[in-house]
Amino acid sequence: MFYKKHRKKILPLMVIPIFILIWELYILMFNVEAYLLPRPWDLAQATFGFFVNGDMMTHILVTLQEILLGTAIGLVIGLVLGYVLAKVKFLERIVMPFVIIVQTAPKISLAPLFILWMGLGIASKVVLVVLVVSFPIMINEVLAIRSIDKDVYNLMKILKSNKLQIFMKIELPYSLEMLLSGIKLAVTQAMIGAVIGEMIGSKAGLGYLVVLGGETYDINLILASVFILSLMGYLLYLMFDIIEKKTLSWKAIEVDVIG
Amino acid sequence: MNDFCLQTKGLNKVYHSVLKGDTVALKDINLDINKREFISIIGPSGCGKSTLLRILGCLDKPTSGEIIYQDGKEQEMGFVFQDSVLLPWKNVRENAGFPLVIKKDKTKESWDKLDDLLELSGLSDFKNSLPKELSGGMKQRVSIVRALSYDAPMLLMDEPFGALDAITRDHLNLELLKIWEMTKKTIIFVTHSIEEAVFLSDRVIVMSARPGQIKEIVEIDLERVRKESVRDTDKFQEYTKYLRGIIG
Ligand SMILES: Nc1ncnc2c1ncn2[C@@H]1O[C@H](COP(=O)(O)OP(=O)(O)O)[C@@H](O)[C@H]1O
Ligand SMILES: [Mg+2]
Repeated sequence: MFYKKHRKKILPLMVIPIFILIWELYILMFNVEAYLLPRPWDLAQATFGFFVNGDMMTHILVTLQEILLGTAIGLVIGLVLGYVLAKVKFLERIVMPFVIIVQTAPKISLAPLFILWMGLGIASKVVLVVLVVSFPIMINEVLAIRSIDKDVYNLMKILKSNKLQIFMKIELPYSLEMLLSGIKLAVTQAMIGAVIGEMIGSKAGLGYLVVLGGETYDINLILASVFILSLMGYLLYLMFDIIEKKTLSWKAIEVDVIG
Repeated sequence: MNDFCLQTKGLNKVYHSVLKGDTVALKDINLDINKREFISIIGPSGCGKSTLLRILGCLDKPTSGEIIYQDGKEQEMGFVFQDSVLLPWKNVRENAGFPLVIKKDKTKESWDKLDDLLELSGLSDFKNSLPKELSGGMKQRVSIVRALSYDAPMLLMDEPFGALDAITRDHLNLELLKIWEMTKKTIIFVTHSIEEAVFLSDRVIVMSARPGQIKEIVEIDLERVRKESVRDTDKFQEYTKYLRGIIG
């Protein structure tokens, strides 16, 4: 009974011990040197050490801050710009081609530019994240407003509603719907932006630790940072997934990657 | 003695398009519609029925011609669209009462009347259901209650039952007549079903396509209150046959 009820959660969890076992066996069988690949237990101990003796927590918070701040600002900018573009037709016709061009260019490649302009601190990464997040949100917002049925506007017209009511009762809810389902993807993109920014030039953060580990031949530091990053990404995704499911319960069911 | 509800004089509507050239959607539409009348508009698809209805509802402007409303252009009107266009995040009662919210009508009287309408339409048990949980017929019921909620004297309906199966459709036709008899609204009803038009209407306006013109207006002289059994009478059959002949 217990197994049946929680099968969806138990099965993925079973993969972890199997993975660790294979890892352990691989090292034993092929005599892999510890500086190339540490044994799982050693890595766990080293990771613990980074928290207790080092300042791993500070680095995690730096990266988290860049992600959350950048995502929040990026969402607002993307929403506002998208809404304006969707409502002002001629502006859209002028601006949209450029938006598409910039959108297809890898924005991450602008990282060195921002670091040059804004230094090694947190600001340059936040700006990079803002850039990465705001573009897809903006485009989705244009589409979200555009996809509102013409008859919904006709309904508002027949009810003699004013502009503010159309915004508050129709456009805002439809935007939030888009936002809540887009935020999961946005936050994943944001993490990539922040980490790559850190790797190119910074003094703190998990991306910085990965580079530091590479330069000092500290395989434990690299693996610990990557592991924490993956966990962070997963938890962020999960968090927004739960928020989305709670707030968008009125939506028709759709297939999801996780969960 | 018949109060007129609205009158159109020489309505024309041309859609301009660079690619396809101009489309004459309506040509010289002259109509007199009386208060408390049930009017159907019927015709092949693309003949301008929706265009005409939108213009009557002031959702669109005619290219030329004018409409005179007995109670002024600003009078309240209800509109039922072909798709129910419910707001997916609102439940049945919130959707049906949406016009009251927009019109900032918080009176107990209006909301009590809304509950009566929901009861009458068999929606009482679904007040808290979301649109995604409803069948097509139920959604359209909600959208009709929504259009009735603010007691507009005029109700415009654009093929409201077009997407429904025949049984649901007959059922909703009866319900609509019940509501119309109770509230005595003027109803202008677009359909492409001849049976539906005959069953519901006092008069049927037959339109022809390209350009959209009024071909004939047929008075339906069947007993009121109409029951389901009306459909089996010879007179009903004659009307449908006659209309089929004109539209042909
Ligand atoms: N917004 C529009 N722009 C251009 N042409 C339109 C528009 N709406 C309708 N038409 C054209 O006008 C004609 C009448 O359309 P419509 O009123 O929707 O017909 P019906 O409702 O009878 O099917 C059609 O030929 C249609 O292509
Ligand atoms: Mg139509």
